[in-house]
Amino acid sequence: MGDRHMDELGRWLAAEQAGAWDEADVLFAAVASRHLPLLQAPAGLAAAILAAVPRRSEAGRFAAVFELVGSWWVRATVAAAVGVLGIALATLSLSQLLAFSSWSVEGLARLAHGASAALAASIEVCSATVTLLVDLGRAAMVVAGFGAAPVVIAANVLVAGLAFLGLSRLLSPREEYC
Amino acid sequence: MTDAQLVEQTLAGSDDGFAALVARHQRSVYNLLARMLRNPALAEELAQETFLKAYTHLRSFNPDYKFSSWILRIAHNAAIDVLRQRGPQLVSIDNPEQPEQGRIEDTLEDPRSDEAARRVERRDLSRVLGAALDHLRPEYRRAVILRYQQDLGYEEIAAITGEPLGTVKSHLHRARAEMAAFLVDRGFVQPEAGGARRNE
Repeated sequence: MGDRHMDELGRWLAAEQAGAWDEADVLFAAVASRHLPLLQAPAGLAAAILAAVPRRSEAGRFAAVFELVGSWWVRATVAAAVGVLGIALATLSLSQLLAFSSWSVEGLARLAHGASAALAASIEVCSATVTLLVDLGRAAMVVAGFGAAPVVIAANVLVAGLAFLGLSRLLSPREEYC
Repeated sequence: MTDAQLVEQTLAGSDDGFAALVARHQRSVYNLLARMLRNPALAEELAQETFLKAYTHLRSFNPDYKFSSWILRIAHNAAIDVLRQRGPQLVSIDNPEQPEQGRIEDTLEDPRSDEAARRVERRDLSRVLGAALDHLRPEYRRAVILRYQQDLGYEEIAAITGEPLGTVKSHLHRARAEMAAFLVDRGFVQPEAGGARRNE
């Protein structure tokens, strides 16, 4: 590194001091290109990145599962279940365990029965809702033929559409990457 | 082969395409992160994260833009997240984390050691400039890195940092002024005729 480089540095410093910003920009670019090189990437960085990529890609396929397992409440539930099981095995006798198992099976059966009943009830509610909507539609068609009703309905549909578009725009995820 | 073609190759399932992109851009990504964070280990970790993020979001890359700007923007955002988490105390520019930098400044600040100063001038000018760069505020530092190391235009820097064009220009101007002041404070002066020399 000789005087030529110090001369370059000196001219940049002089330009900065003189307030010659454009000249300083060019001169500093020359200084930086020689004396501020890019840092070398660590050896093995590329290999580490490429080794991680397939794992990430495989993880993507099962992302939902990993996400579920990764959530704290699933981990806490599993840990609590294991803890309760361990305590039960350590403290209960065989007959008590059998009785407990029998209660558990009975409870699960009731739960299943309850679930099927809830499902049947849901289907009934849906069916009733569809019937109601059909009746409403028929009534609306009859009313729409008279007076101001068509205008009110059209305005209502317009407002609903605008609200839908506005909310969609507000709630859409922000694009982070260009 | 252009970056856009390599992206297309990667999206078509070629591992070689992404490997070429990594080989081409790893240095600039690592440089930006290491300079911004002043922590090589963390920079390496974030460089990996940056490329993995780019890989998983590759479909959202718009080929109308430069891939280098896109990946630097991802790296920049990652660095900003870390700097925000760290808080202002831990990135204090008055308390450099690199012991090597402290050693450089000890040498620079010893006015009696003329021989040492000349050695610094002649052999370690890049280190002195590196120290001056490290002393800048993070937003000034990144502007210098992107402009003078990555050779990007003002508009590209504005797109990467998300700052207005005027702010980018102002940061660059102030950054250069502070770096010049750093050198002058430590004895580098411009003679009336000829190059810089160390003040005695």
